[in-house]
Amino acid sequence: MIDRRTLLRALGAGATVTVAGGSIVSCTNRPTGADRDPDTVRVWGIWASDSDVEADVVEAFSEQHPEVNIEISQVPSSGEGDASSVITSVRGRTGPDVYFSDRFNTAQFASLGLLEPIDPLIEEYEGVSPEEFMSGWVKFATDELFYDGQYYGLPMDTDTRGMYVNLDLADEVGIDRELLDPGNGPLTYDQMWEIDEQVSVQDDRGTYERVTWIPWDDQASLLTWAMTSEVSFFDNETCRMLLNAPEMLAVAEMYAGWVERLDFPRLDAFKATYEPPNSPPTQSSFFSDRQLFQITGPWGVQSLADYKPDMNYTVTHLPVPEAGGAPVTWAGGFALTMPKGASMSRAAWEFFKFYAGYEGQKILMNGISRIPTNLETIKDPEGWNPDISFFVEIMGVAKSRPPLPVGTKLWDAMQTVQESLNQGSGTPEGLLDEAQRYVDPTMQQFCPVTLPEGYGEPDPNFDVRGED
Amino acid sequence: MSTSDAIAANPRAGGAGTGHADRPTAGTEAPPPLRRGDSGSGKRRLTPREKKNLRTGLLFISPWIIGVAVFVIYPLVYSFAISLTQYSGMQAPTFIGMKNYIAAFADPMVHTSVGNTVYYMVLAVPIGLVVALLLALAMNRNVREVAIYRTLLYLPSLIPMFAMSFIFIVFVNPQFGIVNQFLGLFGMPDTNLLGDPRYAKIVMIVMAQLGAGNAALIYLAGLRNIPETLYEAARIDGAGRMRQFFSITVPLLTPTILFNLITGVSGAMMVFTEAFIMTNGGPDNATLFYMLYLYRNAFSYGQLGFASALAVLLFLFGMVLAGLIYWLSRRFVNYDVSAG
Amino acid sequence: MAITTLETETKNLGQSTPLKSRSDYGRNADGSRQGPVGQWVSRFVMLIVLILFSLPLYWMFISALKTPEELAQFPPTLFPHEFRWQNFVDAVTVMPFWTFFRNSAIITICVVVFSVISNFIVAYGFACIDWPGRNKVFFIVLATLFLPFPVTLIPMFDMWAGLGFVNTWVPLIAPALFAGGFFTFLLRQFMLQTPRDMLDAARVDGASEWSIAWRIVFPTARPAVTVIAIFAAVGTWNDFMGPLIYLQDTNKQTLSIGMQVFRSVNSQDIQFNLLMAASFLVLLPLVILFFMFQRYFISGITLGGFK
Repeated sequence: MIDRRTLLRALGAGATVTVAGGSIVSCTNRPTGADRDPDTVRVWGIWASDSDVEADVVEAFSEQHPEVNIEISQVPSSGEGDASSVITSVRGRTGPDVYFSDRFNTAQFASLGLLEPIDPLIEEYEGVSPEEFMSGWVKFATDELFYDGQYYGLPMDTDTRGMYVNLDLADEVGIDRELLDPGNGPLTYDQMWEIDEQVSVQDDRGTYERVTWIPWDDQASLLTWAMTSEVSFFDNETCRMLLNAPEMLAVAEMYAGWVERLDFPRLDAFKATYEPPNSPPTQSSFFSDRQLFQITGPWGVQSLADYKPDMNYTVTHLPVPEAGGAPVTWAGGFALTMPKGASMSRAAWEFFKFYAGYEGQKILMNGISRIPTNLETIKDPEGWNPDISFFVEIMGVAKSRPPLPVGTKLWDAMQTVQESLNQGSGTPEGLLDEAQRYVDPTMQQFCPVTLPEGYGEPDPNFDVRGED
Repeated sequence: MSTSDAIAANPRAGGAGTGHADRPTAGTEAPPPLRRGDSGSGKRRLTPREKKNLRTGLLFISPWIIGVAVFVIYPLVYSFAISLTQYSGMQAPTFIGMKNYIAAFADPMVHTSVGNTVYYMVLAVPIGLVVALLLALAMNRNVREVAIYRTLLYLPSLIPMFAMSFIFIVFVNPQFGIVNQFLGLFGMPDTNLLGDPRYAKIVMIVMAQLGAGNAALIYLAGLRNIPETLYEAARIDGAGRMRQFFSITVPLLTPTILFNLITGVSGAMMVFTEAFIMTNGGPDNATLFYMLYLYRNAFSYGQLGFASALAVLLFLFGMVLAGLIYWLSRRFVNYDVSAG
Repeated sequence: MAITTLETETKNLGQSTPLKSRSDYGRNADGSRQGPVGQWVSRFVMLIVLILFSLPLYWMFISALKTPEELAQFPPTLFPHEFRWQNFVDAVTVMPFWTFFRNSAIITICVVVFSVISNFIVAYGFACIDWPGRNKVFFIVLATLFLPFPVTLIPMFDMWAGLGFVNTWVPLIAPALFAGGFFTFLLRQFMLQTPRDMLDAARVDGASEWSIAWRIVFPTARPAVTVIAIFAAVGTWNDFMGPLIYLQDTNKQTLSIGMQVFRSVNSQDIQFNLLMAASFLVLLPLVILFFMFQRYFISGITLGGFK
């Protein structure tokens, strides 16, 4: 019967063409692991705005290894800890060989089976134990890459948080320069409010025209205040999250008080006016002399040099609760990892090691104004931008987040609590209970865990450096 | 015939078809007996002509049968199976029983996202039904410029949701958004509408109304099915225009309203793109819709098992809702007046 | 539910509005006539509604032509002082716009062709061949209309990933080879209008069902086929979730994801006027398509008589 045959033929042909066409594109073209070309290294690189610095690293590497072909691409992410690009790519067998990723997510990514451990590569190509090899980097950074007995990457940069001060504005309102000198220790919260009385200006409708600080802007966040108040997020003994523990509650209540005092909607409108979303980097409330303090990382030095070179500024410690309190800050950063399906080839390892090693970090950190984690690079006075020396000095007091396999969830939960406190949509107690219920059940799936000795504490290497 | 019958019938029919395709005379031969008697012993036997039609009919709908098997039945079963495991897609799944469901009920973010989605649904669906009906009435007017009405009212429905989201990001920009400036005329202070949990969902609901043209087309088809003689009779009886609208148009449109209600509800359950682009779930999770949270769990967090549990729950909720609408429709939907 | 009644064999009545004579203008759909004042009042109301509905397109277009300075002006200008056509050039060079455009076009054309073929064949099976049980099976077709698609999202992704088709267009195109509920429904309702006698006469002449379908029914079903082709085109052109999940390489991405990714990666670089210019270019093919086939939009949708 001609009709039936034609029908089947048409359908069959359509299906065959699609499937066959797809197979040619996909299967033959998409090797993973050892089937990949060992001398081509596909890299998902650094954020777009610093990709030119990364290109310098690649150039330096290519001079030493002309036989290796490095292919770099930038990959988007819709939010902190969003693994969707790498998850879908790994499932599609088009994942990269080397992935520049947020270090804090490593344990969580590793727990999903998204990353390959690098211990075998260290043993094969370096001939030393992983522990020995990893001791060439800052300890808390390698701790963050450790999951279930193995290492899942090499640390790249780290960063500490400091408070930038617009000195001209400070002089204009008559703030004692002594107060702003980091040598005299951090300001207290009470002092911040005293300064606020002098600085902040509201028009007759209550709209802010000038502000002192925004405790939720940029690197200032509930998480930052929890870190500087030395609150622990996790109890290693009982393997429980501590998001609704009394210490955290005290921080959240203090933060809620600030939100109320500063009147979030008004301050938000201030921000939206002088630094609207999508505004060019030159347009910021800090640059336009409308904000006295800006809490951010060492890269702020770079933006100032690029976009507001004539600003008279200094950097001091984050404010602390008690007078005479010791300075404190926290540090994060990025890492290189190898996703599942990566070639794990010698060439990939060489690039990996070069980029995260002395030479790669030296080039990168000078260009992006962040702190190296490679100990050799840190010890080299030319290993980083000298303008960020304040941030390097406070590494000795920098804590870090606990390297948990629920890192992303923890981060999300803290963001949620912060936003809800800002919007006044819940009580500190209720919100923290919710956060606990959001994170802890997931954590329990991994319990018991063994976190590295002394995790989250300031790095011992930097005490040495402080004496240099 | 139940679903399983329809599916089960397919391989036989398909097998017979391919078998015969080799022989040019196959069409004239008696078809192989179909084993239909297993459960339907009480049914009368099919005549040869009916058997031939059955085979040809099934052959014609075979693409759909395959489609349903691969894109509906299999995913349903698979979703349910995966929802009982801990599975990232990169490691073998581990069976954990009902734990994902228990976790879903305890998860505060699930509560938030359900609340947001229901809020959106409760506002956007009824408003959408009314707006679309008004558009359809406008498109159905017997005036010279009706072609302009139809075109201008339908055009915004063509704007892709992602492009519409970009447009609205510009519209409600606190600095120079036209909406903000318009609201400013009424004394509303400068507000970042998408940054305020009170307004972000409202912006999306308003935005959705610009896409009412599609539902309006369906209404239009329904309107044109209402016989003009009914209106004439009503006019002779002295019924006014409002009276005609509520006594003739609305009752006779109830099946169409029902259709739009169901597509509206299922669309609202899946609202995703605008929140993904415009707010990424914020501010304060005010636009964290169920679908967005499901997507995040599956593809951002690699929790395919948990996300599948969320999908199964949504499926069950959708079915319950469809059942509810069906039950309501039996009371209110008018099928009595034939359209001709 | 509509389904139950649609499922019972309803002869479609083809109740299309007869062509109006000139004297019919000025009447409402219900045939009532408005006084001249009422007419102008309703025209005025319509005008406001039309302005509201045209505003997004208009605003998009003029924003696309403004300079960044003019865009930031308060109060906003309703008409650009200076037409900056350069924005369109910048918009397509600041991102690989034409690559995205080409990819979207290829996927859309494939989906449209495959959808028309597969849905037409299936609809023919439901509308023009009398086989026992077909209405019960059609009930299942309608039931699938209401299946929340998220439940299939993860299994489908897992299946395509397992087959190695992630980061190809296959997962976006292949489903179109297998008819879907909504299009089959629309086509079937329309095809039920085909006169039985015509089909029977062709059968008596010995024509095969296949050739009846394509030679006799297909040409008469053209309005409905056009409507589903346009719906398929619009749906595919606008699809966001599919490309979001299945495509990662920039050179394979469609407009929807490509533009969003570009916006999020280079949020500092893309200006609103360029974003609007690009959005306008995205919309343009759809608008052209709509104007070409506008007349079918009204005549091609038939829901059938409800009984």
